[in-house]
Amino acid sequence: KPLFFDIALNQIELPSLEDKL
Amino acid sequence: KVQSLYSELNRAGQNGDYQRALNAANKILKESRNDETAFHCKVVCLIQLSQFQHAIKEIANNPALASGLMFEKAYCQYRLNRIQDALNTIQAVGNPSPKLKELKGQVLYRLEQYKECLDVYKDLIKNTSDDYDEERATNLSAVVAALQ
Ligand SMILES: [K+]
Repeated sequence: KPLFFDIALNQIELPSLEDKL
Repeated sequence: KVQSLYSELNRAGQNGDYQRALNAANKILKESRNDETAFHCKVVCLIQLSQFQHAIKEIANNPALASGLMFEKAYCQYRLNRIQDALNTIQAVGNPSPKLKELKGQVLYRLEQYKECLDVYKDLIKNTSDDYDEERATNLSAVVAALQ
């Protein structure tokens, strides 16, 4: 089976909290 | 109070402590249950903790808060092996963001729709430059191999 990466997981990120701090 | 909880959430998030960040997000939502940012954080934390079933349940139960979380919803469906549902979620988004296109490539690969998948990866590679260029090239190779 060829190598295939889950790149999307790295793009599951917390939103900017700048205006909440 | 909410502001100090956000500080805690922010600190935990920066440390990759998603359980602590989730606890803070839940406390914020207790104070302010329509806080879209806290809800977004909660869903991200659940995904990072691999609690995909829980995350998708939260999304389904809170449609107003989750309207901007189609990437996260499709990602949960993908990880729960609901691959066709994931594609439907992605295709319902009018102007897909780069991260949605990234996920679409992965979904099409799982669905063995290699021709469409190849087009997505060509577009991604042409228009993206980030820390994952090498991984993306590897995925493209897998798609090309599958087409042969
Ligand atoms: K991350």
